[in-house]
Order: sequence, then structure tokens, then C-alpha cells
Amino acid sequence: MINSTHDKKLKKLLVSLNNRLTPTVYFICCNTEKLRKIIFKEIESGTKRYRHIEVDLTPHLVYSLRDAINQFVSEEVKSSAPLSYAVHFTGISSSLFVSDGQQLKKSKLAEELNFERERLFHDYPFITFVWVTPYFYNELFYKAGDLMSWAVDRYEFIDNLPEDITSEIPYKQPLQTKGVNKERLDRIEKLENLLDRLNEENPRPRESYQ
Amino acid sequence: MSLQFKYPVTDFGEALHVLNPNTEPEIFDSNLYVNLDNVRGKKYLNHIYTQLGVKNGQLFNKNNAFAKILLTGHRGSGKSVELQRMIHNLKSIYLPVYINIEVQLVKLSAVEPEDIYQLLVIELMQTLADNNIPFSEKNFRRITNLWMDEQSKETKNLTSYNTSIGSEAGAGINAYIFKLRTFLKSVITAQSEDTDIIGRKIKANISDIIQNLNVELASLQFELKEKGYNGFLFVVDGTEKLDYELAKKVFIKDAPIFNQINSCFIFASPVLGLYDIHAGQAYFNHQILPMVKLNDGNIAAFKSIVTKRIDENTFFEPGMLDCIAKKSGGSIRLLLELSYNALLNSSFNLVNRNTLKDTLYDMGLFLYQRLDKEHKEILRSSQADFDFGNEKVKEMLFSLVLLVQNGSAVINPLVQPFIEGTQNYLCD
Repeated sequence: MINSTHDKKLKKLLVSLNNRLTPTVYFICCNTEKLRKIIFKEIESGTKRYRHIEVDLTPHLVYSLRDAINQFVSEEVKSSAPLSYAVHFTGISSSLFVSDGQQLKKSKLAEELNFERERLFHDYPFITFVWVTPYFYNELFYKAGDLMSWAVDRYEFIDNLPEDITSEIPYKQPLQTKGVNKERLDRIEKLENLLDRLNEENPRPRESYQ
Repeated sequence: MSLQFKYPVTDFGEALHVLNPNTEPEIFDSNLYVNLDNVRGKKYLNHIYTQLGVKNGQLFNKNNAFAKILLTGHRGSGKSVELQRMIHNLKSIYLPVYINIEVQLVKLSAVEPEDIYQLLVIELMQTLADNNIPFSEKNFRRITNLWMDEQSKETKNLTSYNTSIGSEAGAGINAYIFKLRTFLKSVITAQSEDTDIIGRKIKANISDIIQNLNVELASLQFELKEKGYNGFLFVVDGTEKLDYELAKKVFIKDAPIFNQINSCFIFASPVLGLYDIHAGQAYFNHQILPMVKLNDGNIAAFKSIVTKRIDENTFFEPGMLDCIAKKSGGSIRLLLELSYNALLNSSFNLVNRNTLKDTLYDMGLFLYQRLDKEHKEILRSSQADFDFGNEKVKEMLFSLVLLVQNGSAVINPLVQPFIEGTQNYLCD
């Protein structure tokens, strides 16, 4: 939920967004998916000058944000008038770890983002939002120092109340009815939402690209 | 997107724009450059000029050895700006060959030291072409062919590229350079086997490449003298973006290779590297760009970095910007970032004590929250004696939690209240 600290940061973020003269990159760190969605909606409703687009990178193995932009952002957006769009990249944190055989190891994503800093800030006509988890945010601080020293628009939204995921499981007992019905579909949808959130907070391993 | 402003700006949006480090204006063209020589000291600058045989803007030693200079300094300490200034001041004596690795090598994961040698040759050709200095295209092709053998059939791409180069050659040297540049980017981007082949070829032919390059550099001396230059000055910026291990390879392990090239070089290198460089190698003349050591006498000069950009009275209550300057610890990047955030926090009002306190607290907290238990213990126990060889200390230097001043590390003033457990965030 939005508290007074979030509110203060949000206000500052909106002042920044509404007074931009050129495109730039925003880093937003949220520790829960629920909070991320709330902040996203606030940004969307508080900055009507932009058309907001969300690009979910969770299903993809990302080793370069520039490559992801080339691949997943439409030509229309890439060649749009400056400051027409705000493109929100979510789920990039799930590419921080890759699986290498039986081993789980960190990818070079943070270092790569550091290296492509100049291009991320200067090559695109849209505002770039990179939504990250606290773990990835820390990783960027140490592994992508040059990027983060340019990213003066970085905002951290932390929900201090730990979420009790289990309390949100939409059932305690198995369904007695069989087949596809509204109740079953409803349960599946809620479980999928919970799974999305867990994936965002605990990035799952990817296949190694090396 | 380059915008023009009337400085110092008084408009809120413009102020945010010109304080933002990622929209850094052309500070020489816009007259925003602040000469900090009296604040930093000129020792490092004098050493660099002496190495290049220059004194008071004049060449005093025409037969100086080919200096290889490493300029290190904290992130945001002004290395790139000072490099630009040196190029400007030396441009009538040395023909600069400027290489920004970050801009020209597009993908870190595939960058190899060999790519940097290719860039040297490509940018040298580009500089010659841009300055209408005649050179033997044939001889340069001989060098580039040492990494891209035109007869090579090793890969389809490489062969098709060379066929393409051959057909474009008649279109002039700029077309050839463009193709070389494009090819370098494409092999890096594609992470194809061509990259390995080029790497292997350069490794195998490195002596020949250096020897041929030196022959060309020597043969160009006459043309350079005709134009009044004493030689070339290769200026390599953006190396701090290189992966640390790669930077160590380029600047330490492969240092002898650069040392064989008969030309002067200045490299801007990561601050972390200096401890490794101190540890063993003597191939480079190493100069540190000092942090600005602040005191009451020079605070005005330092804060003028901001007041040249934005009108102080329009945005700050009296004394607030002085406090920001003090809390920046002498880091130009932090000075701009704190000013930017103070304006955002004030949201169209003057920055006052409350908004400044929020700004300094937020920035200090941001840095403090990134520290783990071990970092914090080191900060609490080694207030004046940090071990530069310690990995945790290196991390804190890299992330500006520790700042090097006069050869020793001090805790960033923004972090200090969190370490001490006081709430003295302002400058009282």
C-alpha cells in the first residue's frame, strides 16, 4: 500500500516526469508486484502527456536492454516524436541469473547495462522505465556504477510489511466439482497472479547464453 | 537532442535539464567550464604536459619519448571534461585521435582487447581523412588485412564482408572506414565466430601490426610537420565501462603492446585500476585527477559549476547551495545530482532547510542501504586507515561511499551521519 514515504517519492517522480525536456531513463525499484502495479498506475494517471506501454521481459532471456528494445518495441514507438511515449520494461530482473548446467550463476546483464549507458540515454525518443527488484537494484549499484551515476531519476518503493503469500491462496480445500467452471478458472487466475509475483521477487534461472 | 539555453537558466524544467549529468551540455561551447586548477592543484596537469614535452602551451622538447599516460580519477570527477580541455589546449601541437570506447564498441560482453587495437587504426584513418592529411590507403589496407585477410575463406561472413569492402574501395577512404567501423560493430554485436577469428589474427600478427603501424606513423611525420603538428596524441576515453578484468588485461597485462606504439597516448582509466597499476607495472605514467578538496576559501569556485548553469537566487535560499557543495565531498557528479534532487524535492519553491535535509538524507540513505554488514564494520573501524587492497574497500571506492582525497580515503559526508548514528544531515 502507498504510505507517506511512497507518496513523497511519487510526487517527486511526477514532478520530474512532467518537466522533462528530453527523453531519459528511470529506474524504479519495488519489492512487491502489488506495489509495482500501484506505482505504475499512479505514474500513468499522473503523466497524461505520455502514452504508457508495458513490455514484460519475464519470459525472455535478456542480456542487453538495447537488444530487448530492438526486439520488443515497435517501430512506431521507436520512431515516434520525442517524449510521446513512456516504455516500461518489467521482468528484466529475472534475467539476472542463468543456469549453466546444474549451476546457477549471475549473468553479465548489469555490466552490459553499464556499458550501453550512453545509448540507452541518448538513442531513443521515449522515456525508458526499468522496473527492478531490490536485489537487482543493489547489483546495479556495484556492477553498473556508471549507469547508476547517470540515472539520477531512480526511485525505490519498499513495502515494509512482508506479504504473507499463503494467506492469499484463494482456497483451503480442493474443489469438489470437476471440469472447467468459473470457480476453477478464478482459482487458476489468482494462483497465476501469485506465481507472477513470486517470479518477480525471486528471479528464476534462465538457460545460459554463453 | 541538443538544446540551447540562456545561462544561467531560471526556468524550472530547463534547470532540471542542465543539472542532469546524462544531458551534459557542451560545456566548452556553452561557456560552462569551470577551471578548478587552483582548487585541485596543477601538479597532475603539469606532469602530463611535461611528459608530452609541453610547457606554457609551447613545445619545449621535440624529441620527447612517446608518452603513455593513464589519467585515473573517481567517477564524476571530471576526467572526460579535463581530457577534452587537454585536447583543446594541445591541438596546435598534437593532432588528437579521440576514441570513446563506450560509444564505439557497442556490446561489452563481446569486447576483447583486440577490438581496441582495431579502433586505434580505424580512428587514426578517420582523423587523417577528416584533416585532409594524405596517407597511403594501400599501406593502411595492409595493416587492416592483418586482421581481415582478404584472401581468407575461414568464414562466410568474413569473406562476404571482404568482397563488399573490395567493391566499395573505389568509393573513397571514408567508405572504407565506414565499412571497417560497421564490420567491427557487427562482429561484436553478432558474437559470431568472426570475432574469434579476428582476435586470433590480431594476436598472431600483433608484432606485424605494431611494426606496420609504426612505419605509417613515421611516414606521416613529414605531413604532420607541414601542418605544424609534433605528432599524434591518441586520447582513449570511456574505458571505465570496460569490465574490470578486461581493463586489467588491457592496462596491465597488455601494457607492453601499447608501449611499443610510437605515439603519445592518454587513457582515462577506472579509479579501481590504480591500485593494481601501483602494484606492479611501470609501463604507463600514471596521473590521478584529484578530487576537489573543499574549504571555505574555494567553495565558491566549486559551486560555480552549478551557478553557471542555473540562477542560484531563483532556486535556492541563501546558504543551501553552499551546503550541497560541502556535502558533495568534492565530487562534481554528486554536486549536480544533489542540486537536481533538491530542486525536485522543492517542486517550484526555493530549496530551503527542510527540502535540503530530505535531499541529503535520501541520498545518504540510498548509499548506506547498499552497504552490507562487512562494509559497515570497515567504515566504523577504519575511519582513517582504509586498506585499498581489500575488496570491500574497492567496492566502496567504486560506488563513491569512500572518496580519495590527497591519496587517502575518506567517508562520503552523505554517509557519515548514518555511520555515526547521528542525525546531523545538514551542514550545521
